[in-house]
Amino acid sequence: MTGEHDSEGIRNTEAWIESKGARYAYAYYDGTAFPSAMGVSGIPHAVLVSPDGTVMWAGHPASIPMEAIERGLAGAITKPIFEWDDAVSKVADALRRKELGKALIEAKKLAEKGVADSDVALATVERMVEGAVKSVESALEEGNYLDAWTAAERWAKQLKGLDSADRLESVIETCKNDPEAKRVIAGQKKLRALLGKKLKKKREADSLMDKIRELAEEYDGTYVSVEASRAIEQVRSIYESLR
Amino acid sequence: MKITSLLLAPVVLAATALVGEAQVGEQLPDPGLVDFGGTPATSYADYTGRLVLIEFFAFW
Repeated sequence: MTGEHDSEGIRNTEAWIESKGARYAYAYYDGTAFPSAMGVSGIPHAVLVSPDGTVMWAGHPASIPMEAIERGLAGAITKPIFEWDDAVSKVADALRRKELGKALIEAKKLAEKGVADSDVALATVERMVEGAVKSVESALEEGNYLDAWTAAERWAKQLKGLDSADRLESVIETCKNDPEAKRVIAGQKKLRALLGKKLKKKREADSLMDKIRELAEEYDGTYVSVEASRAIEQVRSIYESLR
Repeated sequence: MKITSLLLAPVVLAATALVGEAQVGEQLPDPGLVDFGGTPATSYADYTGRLVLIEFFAFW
């Protein structure tokens, strides 16, 4: 459906939500920019987004990896920021802009003054900072060097001058200089370059799976082979829908 | 297990399929979502800090 965010589309959606008793949050988008950016060309399609806004996984909702959910939950906050008191709105706004460093400084100031929800805000920001760093360190530990490096670079800039930044710099150094890390990163880039392309025919999927298997073999025992296995699962999940 | 789900309605359908890991590891682009329902949130940024499962859906 296109032109979906019109009065009829909204009416139909609201009726559907009501009739199904759905308890999910829902929202609308106009046009195709967002689904296109997310690689959506058919449904069902789902995207798992980490507490720091990173896409952790995308694909058929039936194949969401539990380990990604568990990893994401480890750094997630329990009280959503839209439920916070207005007194800590500056912290909430900084978080909305993903400015963790600024949010932390502001939360500490407000906590010293003891304003409403400042304890929640400070604990949340500290948890988010720790979650962001731990998420990077976990990715490094499991050999997912590419994502560890990308996230470490992003957070290190924001947390410059804070203790957490040293831990992130250590991750960056490993990813940049460790020979095994460099090799795996090269493999992850090769694999991801193969993905995200539209498949129309079964023979295209067969060819893609062959290439993925070759990479998995070349990088056997590394995170590349883990990603490769997931990619093959995804191809298999859509295989029968192809010509 | 606490996980926030966000259904997006509806989506353009196409006769192709895609292996969707190309965006993994990247920051989610601004979804430009409007008219939130089932939540007091008014923008996607209100979900900052939460683990979010976005599901694109349509009905016919």
